[in-house]
Amino acid sequence: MYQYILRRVLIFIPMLFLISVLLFTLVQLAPGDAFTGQLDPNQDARYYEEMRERFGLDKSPVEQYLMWGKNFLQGELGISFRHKLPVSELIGDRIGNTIFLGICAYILTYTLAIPLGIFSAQRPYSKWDYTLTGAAFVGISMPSFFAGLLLIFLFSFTLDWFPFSGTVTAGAGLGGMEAFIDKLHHVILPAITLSIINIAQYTRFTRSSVLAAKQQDFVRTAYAKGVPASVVLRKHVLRNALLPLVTLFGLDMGILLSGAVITETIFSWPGIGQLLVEAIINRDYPIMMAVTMLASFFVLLGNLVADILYAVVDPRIRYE
Amino acid sequence: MMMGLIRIRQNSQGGRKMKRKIFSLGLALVLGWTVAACNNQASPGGDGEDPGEPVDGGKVTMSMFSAPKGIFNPVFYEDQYDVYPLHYTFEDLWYYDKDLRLTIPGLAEKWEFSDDNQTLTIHLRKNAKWHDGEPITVDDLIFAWETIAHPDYTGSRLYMVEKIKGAEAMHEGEADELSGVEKVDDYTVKVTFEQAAANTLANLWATPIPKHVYEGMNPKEMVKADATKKKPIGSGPFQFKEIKPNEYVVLERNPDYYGENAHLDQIVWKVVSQDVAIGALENGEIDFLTQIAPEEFESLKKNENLTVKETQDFAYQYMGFNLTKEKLQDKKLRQAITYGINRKAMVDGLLKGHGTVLNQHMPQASWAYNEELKDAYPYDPEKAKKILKEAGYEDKDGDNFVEDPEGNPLTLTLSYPTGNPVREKSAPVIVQDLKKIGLNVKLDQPAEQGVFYEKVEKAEYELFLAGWSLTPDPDPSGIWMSTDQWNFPRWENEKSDELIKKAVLSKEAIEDQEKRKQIYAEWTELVSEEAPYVFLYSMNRIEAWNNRVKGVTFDWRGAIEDHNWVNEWWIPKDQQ
Repeated sequence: MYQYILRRVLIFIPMLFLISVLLFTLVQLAPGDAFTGQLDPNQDARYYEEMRERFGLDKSPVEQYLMWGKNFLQGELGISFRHKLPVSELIGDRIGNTIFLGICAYILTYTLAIPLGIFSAQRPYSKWDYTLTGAAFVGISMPSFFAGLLLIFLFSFTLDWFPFSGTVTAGAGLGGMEAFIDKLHHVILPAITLSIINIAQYTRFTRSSVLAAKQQDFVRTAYAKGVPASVVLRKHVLRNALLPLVTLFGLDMGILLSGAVITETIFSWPGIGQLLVEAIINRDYPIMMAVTMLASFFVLLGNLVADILYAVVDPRIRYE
Repeated sequence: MMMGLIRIRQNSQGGRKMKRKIFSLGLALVLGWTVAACNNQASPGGDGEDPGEPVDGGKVTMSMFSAPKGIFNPVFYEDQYDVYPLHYTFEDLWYYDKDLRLTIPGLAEKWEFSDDNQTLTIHLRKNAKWHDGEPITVDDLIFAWETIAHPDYTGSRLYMVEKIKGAEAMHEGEADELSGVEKVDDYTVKVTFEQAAANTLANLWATPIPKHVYEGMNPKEMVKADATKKKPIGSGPFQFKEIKPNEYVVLERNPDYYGENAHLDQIVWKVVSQDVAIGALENGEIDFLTQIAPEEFESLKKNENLTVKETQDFAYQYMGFNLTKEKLQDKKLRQAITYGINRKAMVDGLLKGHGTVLNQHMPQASWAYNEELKDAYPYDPEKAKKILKEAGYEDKDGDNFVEDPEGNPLTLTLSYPTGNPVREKSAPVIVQDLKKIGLNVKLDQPAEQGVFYEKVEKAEYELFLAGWSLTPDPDPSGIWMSTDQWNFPRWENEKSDELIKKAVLSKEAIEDQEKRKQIYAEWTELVSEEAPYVFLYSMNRIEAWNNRVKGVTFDWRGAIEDHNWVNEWWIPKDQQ
């Protein structure tokens, strides 16, 4: 098992390398650079030359890549063109917010989707089941920017229950518990927006998984033995039905990180998704590279975690 | 602070602080919602009714579409949203008046030029203090100049000290101080420039920064210093109270302001995404909104809690001709095209009337605006056809499109960037209009900004749509001189170069603004005749605010840019 994990982790290296080459090439292929878009007639053309030189943009793409790679290996993510600050600092400032939002979205997803899925599966083809199915399809089809705006319209503008921007109330100067509650208050709408699709999907997933498990022979046997229905559900049905969800948990890690891009932008949530959008608009490639590398790393890690968790929860699976 | 902004979303930025015509060709030029002058008068807040006597207290909330970069120092900031809080916290030496002249004293009490106009003596007021209580002296002003001229300074404002004698030597590391600057006493300084110019004042850096706070730091350290990122010490009617990086900035009243203290207790700037900003304004969550699209005007106007105003912006959109292409070198063709585009319909249709048709580089709000050109090139397809015919462009093969005078088919391509919805919509309209006068114009795929401007710079396009955002000073150098990098049409004209130089450097222009205006009149007429651009339209700057805020001044720079008498804003007790 440990050998397996080690092997998988080692594979990260060539994969991340390939990803970085690919990303770098894409960035280079796009004409223009961070300074093309900032014309100022009062400014000497010399200034732009100086800036390009300072940031190494006058070098060949291969040299630029090698420079970037060398720094990256030494843990230096470069300096942002726009912010003129180390990228690691920019990411460091924001990643906490993204993780917090991600965790809240996770919690919402699992606490809502699993019970709803089970509820639905317990009454297949009933009025309730159809209602939930319908709602799930709406959820799956709703793009997150639309969901976000809809939530803001309903819960911020109309009902005035939740704030729609930032992570804390501006200038309130709260401390301790109050500050935490304020933060939770701010995270609710973005977390719902971010998790809406997952909630919908997992509800459907849980439902069909539970339904399938209920038709298994061992479930019938359990009922035949006279095991109470609640115990059958808990011990026989759910344990089998929810196995695949564990996998999804891992796979979602990377997606939550990168999927927050739109949500963070709408809710002005200062996380790395918002940072990435801004970097793309400004062609700030040190940030683009660092954030996408980070997201790629999390996707890879998520896959690994999914595989490992699978082995942990399902004794039939063994990795050598 | 008199400096330009790198604008992210806006097209223009009138404002004393914006000295440069900056265009972030990025989203900015583009997304620019700007243009024609409709209301150029300063107006008190609220519509009509008497708001009563100002009272102290209350808080105003402002929005930013993206987080400020957090570089709260006028010398170093680059982001549009960093400068907003800086407007209210750092004072300039002087400010623009409503006629776009630098006549209103700020930190400088008075200033005068020597007889040869090469030396400027600045007298600072003696009662101004930094937010930490230290007096503001000329050392702080000289410190700002020397920081910018320092070899390690990487910001974009070198051009604002460059004209001072010795700046070049200091920037190159050959001198430790500016030889052209002479401190007379703590409140008086004499500055000598390389040469006399009509826009010396407009181009001189005029925002002191606190020397005692940054003393001993090199510019590289200054950018990162706590005094820049966490607790900036400024000089304006408001001071920094709290900065939450990436989220908000809270300003509070400066109780020791040299002028009349502000009425408001606080001004909060927070990040609100552009998608929800209008809703937030209508809902009272934010008090001010700028960069409003013309489509929103009518619906906001109906909201009785809001004041909505518009003014001509110092920005315009144009269609450029690439004059390195042989087929575009005939001036008659370019003039015909100008007559053949229905620009009035663009303003009425695409801008819903919130803009003006333009025939010159000078915005209508500027003193350099040439009245004579107001109605040059009216929409006249018949005249356009006639000009084409006279110049030898005729449809000989009966395909409804004219051939060039040699009889070869004439096809032109129109290119444009993405990012400005109005401009994107104008492209097909232009193609249709030109078809009516017999010109075969193909519409190129819209290109992403960076890509687009790179190709424009390399003169790869034929016809292209772009925009400029201007400064109050009308000097068009930078984009109009033959050798300028941003002379996109590659229009080379000795007469034009001569006039541009004369308007800034000649003695008559320096001493008499009327004379300078006449030179620009001659220049704008030359441009109009040669038609290297079709000036399309200038979109109005539309801004709105909640009626609970009283005492707001709205002029050519809008309501919130510069410090624009923010100390006069107040909120009635019952609405605080």
